[in-house]
Amino acid sequence: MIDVTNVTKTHGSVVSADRVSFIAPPGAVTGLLGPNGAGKSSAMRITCDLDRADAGQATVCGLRYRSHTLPMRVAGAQFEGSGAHPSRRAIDHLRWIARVNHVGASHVEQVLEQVDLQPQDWKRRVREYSLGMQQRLGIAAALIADPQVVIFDEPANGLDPIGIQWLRGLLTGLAREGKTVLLSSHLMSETELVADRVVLMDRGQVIGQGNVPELVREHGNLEAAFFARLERSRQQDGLADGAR
Amino acid sequence: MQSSRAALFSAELRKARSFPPVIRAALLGAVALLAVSSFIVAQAASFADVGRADALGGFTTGEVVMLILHYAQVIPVLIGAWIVAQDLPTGPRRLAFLAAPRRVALIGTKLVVAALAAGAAGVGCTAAALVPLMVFAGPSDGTISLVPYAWLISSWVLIAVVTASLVAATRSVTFTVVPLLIWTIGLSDLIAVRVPALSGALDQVMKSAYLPGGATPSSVHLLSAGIQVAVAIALGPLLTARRDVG
Repeated sequence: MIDVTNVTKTHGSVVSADRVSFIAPPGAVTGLLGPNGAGKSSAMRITCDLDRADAGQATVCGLRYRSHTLPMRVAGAQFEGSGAHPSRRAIDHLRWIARVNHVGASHVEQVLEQVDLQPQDWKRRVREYSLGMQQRLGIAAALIADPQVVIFDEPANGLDPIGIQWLRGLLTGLAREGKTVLLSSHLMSETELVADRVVLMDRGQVIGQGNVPELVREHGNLEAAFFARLERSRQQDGLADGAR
Repeated sequence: MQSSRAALFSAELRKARSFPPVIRAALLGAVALLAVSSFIVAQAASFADVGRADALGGFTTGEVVMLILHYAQVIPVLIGAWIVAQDLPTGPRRLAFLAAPRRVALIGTKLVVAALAAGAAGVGCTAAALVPLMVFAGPSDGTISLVPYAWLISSWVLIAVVTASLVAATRSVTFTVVPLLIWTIGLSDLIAVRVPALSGALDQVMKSAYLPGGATPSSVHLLSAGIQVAVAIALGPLLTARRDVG
């Protein structure tokens, strides 16, 4: 489970997270949904201890990410692309991650098969990979230690329609295995297809959250639900600014 | 089960070994030194044949080879820089800190790996430079003392570690490597002539121990060099620990 409580983060005058709170439960896909700059990636980076929160805290399976002895065995994360240096061979890239996490070398090949990368591509340098292949390699790195929690930042970026369909199956499959799946996206219709719960974000704030079927029942689709919450949130902000 | 620290060390070692620029810097350096050293030894032999023993400016062939090795310190600079720089782009940096979120431990491990890689490259490159000398040098060159070479390799190790730590601190290869090379290969000597206190600078202390005409550094100079190394080594982990990975 991921538990984010009142997380606030500012970069100079820009507030990238403003008292953000949500829970991503096990056995479900939770989507962070919002436009670019909504604070989705910031919340994820803070959850993974890549960035420090100014206030509040985020825990993964009850502890801060960095407090876990072998954190990638608890939570695997993928942020934009493969995370590999372009000069490195894909298989070498996964082998060092496996070694840090006490994962056997044989598991590297299993996870490469799991993400549908062909054996003839395993020893190619990452700079020779297409955007979609890099995305799959990044997903492989997140899954390599078979974590209980997986965090994907815009995982559909660069994937072709077949890749996107494969990704849907992967995400829902992981949730069915009882894992906690947290993904961020600005693609409303895509998120509606895979997510069980969504956290709607705008300008660093959570403007709504709930179960996808309920939001769809209430508004017709997730996009309509998002824009209804967005309008309400901006009206409230306008009222608050007016009162000041 | 292997401890986390041992696993991290082993993973970082594998990472450095499988990163082409690190291997390339060491191998190309060794090949270049072998070629240059062979050329110098051959030239010295041909000058001696025509009775011009002073053709190398009064230096022995061995001393010239040592000078070449001194200027080859670009190799440990590159090795140290690359071992940290492979994780400088945003994607690799995030993944490195996801795999090993204890930042001081991660950077510390990288510094140890940089030291080992530079030490190995130093031994290999020194051997490559000495082979032509040992195979073709005449009896006038006498026996080769290994002490200056031990100092030289130690200097390479320190240069690599300092470079690696400074690259981690600045998050920039260019803004670390270029000033370091300008300083160590020329500027330091020019300024040291006018500012005697600079004889305590790390590069001046180390090179006085292995370059022709130098002497074993005094304990004061060694202490000064040690402090400089300690400060440089502390900068990388401390600044990395305080910053967001992004």
